[in-house]
Amino acid sequence: MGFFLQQLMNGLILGSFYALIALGYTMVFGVLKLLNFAHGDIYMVGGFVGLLILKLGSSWLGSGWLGVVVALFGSAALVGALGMLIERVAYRPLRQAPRLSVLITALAASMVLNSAVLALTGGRPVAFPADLGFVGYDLGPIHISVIQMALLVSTLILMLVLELFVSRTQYGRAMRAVSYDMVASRLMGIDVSQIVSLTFFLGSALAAIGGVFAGSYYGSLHFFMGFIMGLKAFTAAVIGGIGSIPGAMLGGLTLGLLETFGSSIPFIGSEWRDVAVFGALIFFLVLKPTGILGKTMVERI
Amino acid sequence: MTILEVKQVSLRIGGLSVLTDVSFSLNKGAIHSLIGPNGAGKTSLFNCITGFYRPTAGAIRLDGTSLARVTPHRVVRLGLARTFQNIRLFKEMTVLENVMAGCHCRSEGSIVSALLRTRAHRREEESIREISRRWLDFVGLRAKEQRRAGDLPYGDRRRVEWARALASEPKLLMLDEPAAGLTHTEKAELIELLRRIRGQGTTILLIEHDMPLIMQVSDHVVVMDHGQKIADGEPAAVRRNPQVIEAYLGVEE
Repeated sequence: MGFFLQQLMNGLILGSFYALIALGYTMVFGVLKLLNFAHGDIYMVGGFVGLLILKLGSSWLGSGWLGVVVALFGSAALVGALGMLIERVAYRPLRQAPRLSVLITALAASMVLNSAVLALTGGRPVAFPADLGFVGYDLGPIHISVIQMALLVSTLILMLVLELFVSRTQYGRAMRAVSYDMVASRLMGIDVSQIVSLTFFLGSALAAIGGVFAGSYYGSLHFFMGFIMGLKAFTAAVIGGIGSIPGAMLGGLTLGLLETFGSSIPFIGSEWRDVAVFGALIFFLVLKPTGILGKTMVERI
Repeated sequence: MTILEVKQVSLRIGGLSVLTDVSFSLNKGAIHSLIGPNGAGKTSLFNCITGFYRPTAGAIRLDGTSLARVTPHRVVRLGLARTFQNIRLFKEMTVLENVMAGCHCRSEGSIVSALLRTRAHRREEESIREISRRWLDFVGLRAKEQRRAGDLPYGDRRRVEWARALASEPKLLMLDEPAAGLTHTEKAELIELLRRIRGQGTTILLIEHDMPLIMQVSDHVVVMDHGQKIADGEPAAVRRNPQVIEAYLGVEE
């Protein structure tokens, strides 16, 4: 029982990471119908930017909670702007081009970020100097550390704020309008480019927060960490129903649980967990391509 | 008083002359109709005015402001709204949300205040909701404000489009075939609605094929054929114009 609950906890933690990254995937897909392959690398860059802020600020802020929180916000703002820049440079000029062209520039953007960080770090893992201690609480049979709690709670809050923003504010409404009909939105007076920039800012900022959390939680960063994360977040978005915000949360948590429990089945080692994850991707794409919460999209002829 | 001036507008797409030297002007506060056989260039002209196409030559002025180099969403802010021949609602959103989206260009709130859901932002949301409800009352759809727009019957979906366009507070409202597919009763309601819109000082430009409706409601008619304007004037005069009769009925050799 204790083992089960502990694994449940681990699954939820892992799932929160996936959910944070999946949100950006799903928002960009909702608005532009584009799979932003650079998104995983945005998460990785977010971690490194957070690391830089933490190092630069450590003399005044220390590398405890204050420093990490500043790194979280700072990285979210800077990397959010980076996301906007990538959209402006690599995607917007191709707005009228065939979908495939944009997919290719998205791959290119991913490689640019990836290779730039590879060049800067020499490909070695870099230690993340957050000093958050190992304080935790025992809740019955399970142990939960403060950073785990912070991650879970922040993910939940961010998700809630985002859902409120999208459903209750004029910019959120404009975002939904653009996702349903870009041409009509423009002719209704909505500045589509501004809404697309906003989408990229929000999605990238969330990924950056995920990146800083990953650094603080795992203790190190690596230039390649965005690649597999991007693929898994994409899987999470598909499982939840791509284009849906609650779906990204649900898909992320489902995937996290699947991964932790998949690797704890007897005789199947943890090296099999990615088989479980991507098996689930195939399963969903074949049997329920709209995901758990996705709506059926009717292709207009 | 002129609200819209179209001056020697030409549009070429590829090697094709879609519009040739079209000029006319529309008086403020009247109902104007743009008519002509299929392929006469009416919708192309509509698209030039709304900034969706760029005319190859000529000038278009809305209330004295040139519309050249103005992006479509800014054209709306300058006071021009339109509806579509094939209705384009945001189907997954409620009726009220559709109309509120039409108010977007009139709101002042910043993205930051929306993200933080500040009190000022919430107050503005409240006022947008009030304004949108007034327009739903205006078109007679208030009772259905919480319905999903895509679930409404055809006639009601047209009304949502009108309310959404009116919510952007246009000086000139352009309706692309608003009577298409409406029942007899709905057409009568449309005529009454058009007059109420005119009554509050908004100028209307219709593209229509329904001749009885045009003759009944228009103050002024512009006739196009083969990308050129062939006549414009009062409905009764236009109807007697030999060139117009020829365009519609053909002429015997």
